[in-house]
Amino acid sequence: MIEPPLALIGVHVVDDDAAIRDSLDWLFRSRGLPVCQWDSGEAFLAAWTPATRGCVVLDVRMHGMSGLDVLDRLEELGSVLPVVVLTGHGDVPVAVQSLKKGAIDFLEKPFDGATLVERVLAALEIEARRHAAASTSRALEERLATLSPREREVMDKMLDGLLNKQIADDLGIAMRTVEVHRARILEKFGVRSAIELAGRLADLRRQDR
Amino acid sequence: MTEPAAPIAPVDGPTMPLVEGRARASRRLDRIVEATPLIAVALIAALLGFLVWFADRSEREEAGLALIRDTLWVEQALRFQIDADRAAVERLAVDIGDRPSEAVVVARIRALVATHPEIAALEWRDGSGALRALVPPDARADPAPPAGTPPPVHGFSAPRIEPGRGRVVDLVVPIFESGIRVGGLTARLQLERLLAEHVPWWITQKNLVSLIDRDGVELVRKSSLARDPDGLRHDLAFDPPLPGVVLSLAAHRAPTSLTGNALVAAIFGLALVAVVSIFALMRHYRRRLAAEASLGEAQALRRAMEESLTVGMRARDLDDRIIYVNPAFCRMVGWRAEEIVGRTPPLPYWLPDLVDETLARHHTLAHKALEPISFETRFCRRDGTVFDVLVYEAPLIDARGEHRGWMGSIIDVTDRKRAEEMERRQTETMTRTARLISMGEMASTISHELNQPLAAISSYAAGCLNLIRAGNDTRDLVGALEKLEVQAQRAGRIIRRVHDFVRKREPRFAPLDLVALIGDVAAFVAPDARKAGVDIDLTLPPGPLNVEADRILIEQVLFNLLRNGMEAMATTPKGERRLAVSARLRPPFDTPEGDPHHPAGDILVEVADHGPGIPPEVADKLFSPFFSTKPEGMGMGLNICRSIVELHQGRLEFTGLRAGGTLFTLTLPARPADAPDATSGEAR
Repeated sequence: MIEPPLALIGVHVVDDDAAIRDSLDWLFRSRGLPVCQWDSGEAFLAAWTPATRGCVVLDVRMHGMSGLDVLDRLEELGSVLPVVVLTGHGDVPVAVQSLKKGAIDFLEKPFDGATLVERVLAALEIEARRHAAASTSRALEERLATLSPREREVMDKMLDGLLNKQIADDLGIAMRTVEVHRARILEKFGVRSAIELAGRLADLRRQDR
Repeated sequence: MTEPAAPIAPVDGPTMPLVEGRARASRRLDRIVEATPLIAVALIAALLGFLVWFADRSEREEAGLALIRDTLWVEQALRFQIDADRAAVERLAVDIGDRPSEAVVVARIRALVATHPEIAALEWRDGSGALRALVPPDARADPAPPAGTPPPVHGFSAPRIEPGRGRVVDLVVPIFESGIRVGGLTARLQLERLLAEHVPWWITQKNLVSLIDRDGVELVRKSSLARDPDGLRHDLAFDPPLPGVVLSLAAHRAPTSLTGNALVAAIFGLALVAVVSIFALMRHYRRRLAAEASLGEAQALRRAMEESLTVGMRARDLDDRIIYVNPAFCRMVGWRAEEIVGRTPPLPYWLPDLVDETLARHHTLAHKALEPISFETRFCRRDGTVFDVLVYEAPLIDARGEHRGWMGSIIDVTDRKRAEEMERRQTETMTRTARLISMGEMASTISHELNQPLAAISSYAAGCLNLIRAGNDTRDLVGALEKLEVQAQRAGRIIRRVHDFVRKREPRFAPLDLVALIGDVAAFVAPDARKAGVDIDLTLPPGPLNVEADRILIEQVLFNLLRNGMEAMATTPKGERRLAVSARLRPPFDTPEGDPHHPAGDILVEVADHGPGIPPEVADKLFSPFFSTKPEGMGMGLNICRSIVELHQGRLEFTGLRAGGTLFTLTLPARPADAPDATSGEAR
């Protein structure tokens, strides 16, 4: 897996007002969070890759692409980045719309700095979880891919709860061979029992869904 | 006025073939007309030719007849002469048979020869053939007749040639004595003399008279002219009396035939000339026809163009006499062309009160350089309605380059003027709307603009706090705090701008009728009121209520009050949304004790809504800046309103109504009736 460029990890502040960007940069760094500044939605979207990590603090009212447009575009791109939207005072309809478009939170300007940091931290946590889950399932899938077709057949029957004897009968192979396959499957997944294996794969299936 | 243009005659299907058929028929007719002179000329030529031929023929016939007549005449004359000669010789022969003396015989022979010039010689021989007498004596005795041809016993011999006498014929007459032949007389007829003596000049003038033998060999002739081989000729046998001789008359070449030919040539030449000239004429005629057709087409097109013009056209000569108007102009003014053309000013479509002006314009136009001018004026229709027109007047220059008068194009601009007027009013309304709305818009803009520095300030401050709490060196905070200060100044600038906006305009005080103004504002908010289901009750005095005020500012105040009132009733049941607006003059004596008043009294404008009223906690802050009960409000409206009213030395107050709702009272000093008219608009 390719590591994302360092610049694309952290809090992505998207605002066309330089003062806001700079003050947010100051605020987030005061809490030890790395910050990437983007002076427009277009600039952020141009730099975005599926590997981009962190969370987005997005101003709704910008020249060029509005914050809502950026949300639409991120959804189209299949981004899973959590987005915190900054709206004007009392701009409820916009706030509602941004939540519908996939923002995880919104804050009215002028906002309380501490609140914003808390929301961003929460968003980062969500992102970290999403990322971890994604990498686990990716690892499992990689391991599944290393199985030979015969091992795959044996594994399916193991997960169905069949004994070695039954598997050997079903597949028309020697009992001893089944035992060898079984040992190799457990070894490839790094688990000690069929039950543990079943648990891992169940996680994967749940995430697939 | 936009009278519908006269409908153009519809061109339906059958018309075209009909027209085509007509055209075809007329073309056929043209062809016939063109061919007629040709045929006539041909007929005349043929007839003349026939006449010439006929005349020639009859002349030839006549000539032939004359020739025959002449021939017969000549034949008769010659025969008569020859018969006479023969008779004379025979009588002599008979007399000789009676035995007269020889001297007598000779004398008689001599007499005979002398009296008959054609008888060249006469010889008398006795029965033995011996020559008894010969007259003239020098005449050579006739040699013995040529062998083979027996000498005629009685009658004429065949012609022969005798030297010195030409062709001669012998007339032999026997002499009988008591029935016995005792000799004979031979008269030698000289044929040449015969013709010379006995064919008259008028015959020879016309004809060549000749005697020929059976073989066509000419024996003698009388004429100096050569024989015309093709000429008319008539032969008549002259045997008897002369054996083997034919009389032939040949007409001289008729001079008439030459003139006839010339005539024929002239006729045909002239006919040819006529045909050629007819062709030339026809070509010319066709060209003219084509020119006429194209001219007609152009004329028709021009007429059609003229008919379909919507611009009125009118031409007048240098004496201001109307010489032409087009249908559009007639439609425009409602007069028929024949009613206008030929008239001189003042024209029927002139407005009576513009006559002088129009005449003056004509005068200047006549004395100005010849260049087009345009001006706007008004015309009067026949029915008396007046309409605006735009007139372009240009000099009318004829083909010779002479200035003949003036051509005017007239466009009815009533609609355009009306549109312009409407547009002007609309712009005015929009400007006013923009002015009134700008308050709200500005509020929204300002709130966003203020949010930016405030958010930044909040972030800097939070960041600094974070660092301080984390125990960082406070010197690290300097940069952030400086930036924070910049943002605070930015916010301050925004606030100043708002203030400037409000104060930007110098108020302009002028006499203002509040009654009319309230009417205007009420009309302006009426659409919104209808939408909100609010009835606006106006209670206004019939007369004006004059104040000295800035119209735009007071308008804004009234607008705000009315709109606030309407918005206050958003939760009121539909039927009860009534906004009562009234205005009245309160004289000084009517003013409640202690209230400030003005010498001329005060104008009170009251706006009462039927909303829920104003809660006491809100009432205290109602006029304070940046207080608003509305989610989008900025809290500027009433505050500014009060400032405006105070600028006018008036007051803006509100009270809760017992029945619910709020009453806003706007008090402005009334303008004294005797105040100097401040229409100069000078600011106080």
